[in-house]
Amino acid sequence: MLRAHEVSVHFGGVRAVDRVSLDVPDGAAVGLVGPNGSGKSTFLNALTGVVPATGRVEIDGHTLPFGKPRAIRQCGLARTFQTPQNFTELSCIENVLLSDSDRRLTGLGGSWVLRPAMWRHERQRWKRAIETLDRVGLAPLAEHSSAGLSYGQQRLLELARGLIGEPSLLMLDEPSAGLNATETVRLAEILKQVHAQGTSLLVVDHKIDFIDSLCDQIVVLQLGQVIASGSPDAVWRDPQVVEAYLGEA
Amino acid sequence: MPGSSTDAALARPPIYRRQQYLGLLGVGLISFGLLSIVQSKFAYGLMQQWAIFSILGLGFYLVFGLGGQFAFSQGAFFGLGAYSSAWATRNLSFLWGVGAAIIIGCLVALVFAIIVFRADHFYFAIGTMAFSFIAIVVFREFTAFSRASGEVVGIPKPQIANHAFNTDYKLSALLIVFMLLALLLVILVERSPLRREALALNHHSQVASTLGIPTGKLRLLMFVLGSGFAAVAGALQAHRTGSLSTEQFSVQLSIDIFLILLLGGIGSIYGPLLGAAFVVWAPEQMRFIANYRGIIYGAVLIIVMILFPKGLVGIFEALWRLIRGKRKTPEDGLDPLAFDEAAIDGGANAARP
Repeated sequence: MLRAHEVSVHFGGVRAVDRVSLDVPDGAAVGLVGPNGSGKSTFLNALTGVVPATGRVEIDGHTLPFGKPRAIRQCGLARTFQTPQNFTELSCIENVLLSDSDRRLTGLGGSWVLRPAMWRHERQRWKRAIETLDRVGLAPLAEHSSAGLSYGQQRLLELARGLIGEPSLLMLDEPSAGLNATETVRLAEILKQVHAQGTSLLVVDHKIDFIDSLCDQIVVLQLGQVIASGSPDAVWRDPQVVEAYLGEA
Repeated sequence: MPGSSTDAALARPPIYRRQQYLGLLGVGLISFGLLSIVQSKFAYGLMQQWAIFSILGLGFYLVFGLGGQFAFSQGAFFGLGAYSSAWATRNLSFLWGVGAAIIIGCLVALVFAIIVFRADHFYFAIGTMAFSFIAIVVFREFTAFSRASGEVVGIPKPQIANHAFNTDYKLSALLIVFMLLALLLVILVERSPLRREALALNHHSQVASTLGIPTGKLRLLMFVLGSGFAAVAGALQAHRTGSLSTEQFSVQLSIDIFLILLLGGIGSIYGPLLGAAFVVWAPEQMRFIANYRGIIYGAVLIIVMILFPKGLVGIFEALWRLIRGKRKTPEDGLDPLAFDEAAIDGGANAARP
């Protein structure tokens, strides 16, 4: 379970995230929504150590170190980015392999000395990577350059990269952005399967239908602060949320 | 899936499908083939310098080509290796000298890399340039075993187990063996997870760290490795020439090392070998134009870089493709300098939104 307590992010004098507290119980799918500039992505960046933050974040009772992305990843938190951040000089399978939590003999020792053992681990990693690519429908493109993928495929590749380590919590930053209706439905189906298999989700997105179809709880941010949280029905009826999205009547 | 040509069950990173060991064999055959037809002392000299510069270039491939660190310190580590081996072989054998060069070169590189750990990109480049200037001053002023101005003479020719490499042919053969060993070590890195992690570090270190890659450790490793290669090259240079002076390790050398990689091809392990051949061979062919040599050499460099953005290795790749009558494969886009958005799915919406 992820528990964020009074997380704040400052950029100079600007308070982008202001004492945000949020829980993601085991197996839950939580949506994080809000108007542009409300601090959703910054909050994810804070949780994954990409920007400096204050407050406290715990996962399964262990306090996460702020500003240490690698240590946070090792605690079982994986993420995708607002714009797909794939490595275009690598193939699809290599992109996924980068995120495998089995890092045995990936260094110089495996490269120069313990090669037979390195190959054994590497073959297991390939197998896992292919299985993960298969989950998002990209297995046939495993050896292709990720530079040639369509935008929708790039999204799926990044998702596969997040999934390979069997993370306890997958954080998705606007996963449906730039996708057409068909691709969005396909993505929602994949994420539902991921969720059904026990991975908790924290999803930032602007598409209300997408969020509603996926999440059992929604948290709304405005100007870096939580203004509402609860079930989708309750949240969308909240006057503060209506005002934040539509303005005062 | 459109464009699918791979059996997913057998899929693996395409780098493992490349025939690097055959490439190593080919380089070995060509090198020893050339050596067997070489006659003159001058040609032997060029071959020896090519082998040493190739090791230097392979080291820089690890630092810059894979690790993405813009380091001007390769020349300094080349000098450090040369002086270390010259110092060690006053009492010890040649191989101990090379060993001393590796240990001292790697240790100094590690300490330096830790000191400038937080410096990124241009700051790191400036730091390495400053290190080079400091190193030259130290070579010049530290006269415990060298003459004034850092001159060392009488460095013995290589000798391994009572076998002296004291003829041009033997010395050239030894240097080629060292070059092939260096190439083998780089191939082993290429055919391992280290390559993809270094490239991830190179192209987006922050994203790489969110994937669990130890970016700091990896950056140190690639820098120390490349510097170690430079130190070995320096040690070989010392025993080849038999004498040292600080002029050998000037800023011009660091520029030449950049040229070796950029001209040869930054995205290929064979690039440094081709680049080193060009840097060693081309200036010698232009001696007849005396005063205009610098201008012509510069112009040739610019033309090569414009016509062959993938470096000289790109010419060979194009020729190879022509010979095999083969179209581009899906993995052709994997070269850091080859970006083909249309390779899969028409690429029509690759840049959306």
